[in-house]
Amino acid sequence: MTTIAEKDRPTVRDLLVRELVDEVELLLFTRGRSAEFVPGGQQDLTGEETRELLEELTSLSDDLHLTAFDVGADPDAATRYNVVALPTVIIRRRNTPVDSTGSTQVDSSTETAPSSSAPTLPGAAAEPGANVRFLGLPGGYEFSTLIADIVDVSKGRTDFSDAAREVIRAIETPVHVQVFVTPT
Amino acid sequence: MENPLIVADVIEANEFQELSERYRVRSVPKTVINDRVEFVGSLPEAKVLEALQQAIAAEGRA
Repeated sequence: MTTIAEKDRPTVRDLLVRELVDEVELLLFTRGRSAEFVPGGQQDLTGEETRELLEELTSLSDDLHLTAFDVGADPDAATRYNVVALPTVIIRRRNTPVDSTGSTQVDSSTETAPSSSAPTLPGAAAEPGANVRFLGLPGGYEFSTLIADIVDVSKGRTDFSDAAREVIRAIETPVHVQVFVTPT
Repeated sequence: MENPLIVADVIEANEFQELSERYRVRSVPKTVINDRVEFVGSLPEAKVLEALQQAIAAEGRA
């Protein structure tokens, strides 16, 4: 059972209403049903379950949006976002500004895929703001982690202390943190 | 989130056996930073920062 239980939905909905500040988009990468292209030779064991879960989740809040990429039909999407395993879910603030002027973008509410004009950082997310990711089905206990990450991204802040935040912000080389978990 | 140069992946270990084997994941949560520094369990903030800095320093020497 990977979908959100009926009895849990009001709780999740209330939490999202209470906690979300900025709109968040979930980018889902699956192989879809179409194709043979599989990045890194990875299978896509739980793509459909993940899609169902995220569809239900995003239906619970107007501030949550789902964009799905079928890397079979659109292999460039995987390259653009540096996706090497399927399914992958990227959590990011919606309309992450990409212009260098620092001006805030107005939400034009288009549903098109983000542009790939941003510079590629070696080892880092190819697209801006796309650096918090889940590989595999975010179910079981990991569902709470997913929700917590969505809230953090929406608020644009983490639970680190100010001192730690300063250290982290000063890092000038690409860092890849991988946390292995299980849903039970 | 605090720094665009940092990519954080949460990986479902059962689903990605190959990755789990490559990083010798025996218990979870296991954290691997830049393929170089790793720890098991959840650590206090200072220890996490320490691991982060170790990984970056190791990168510099490579």
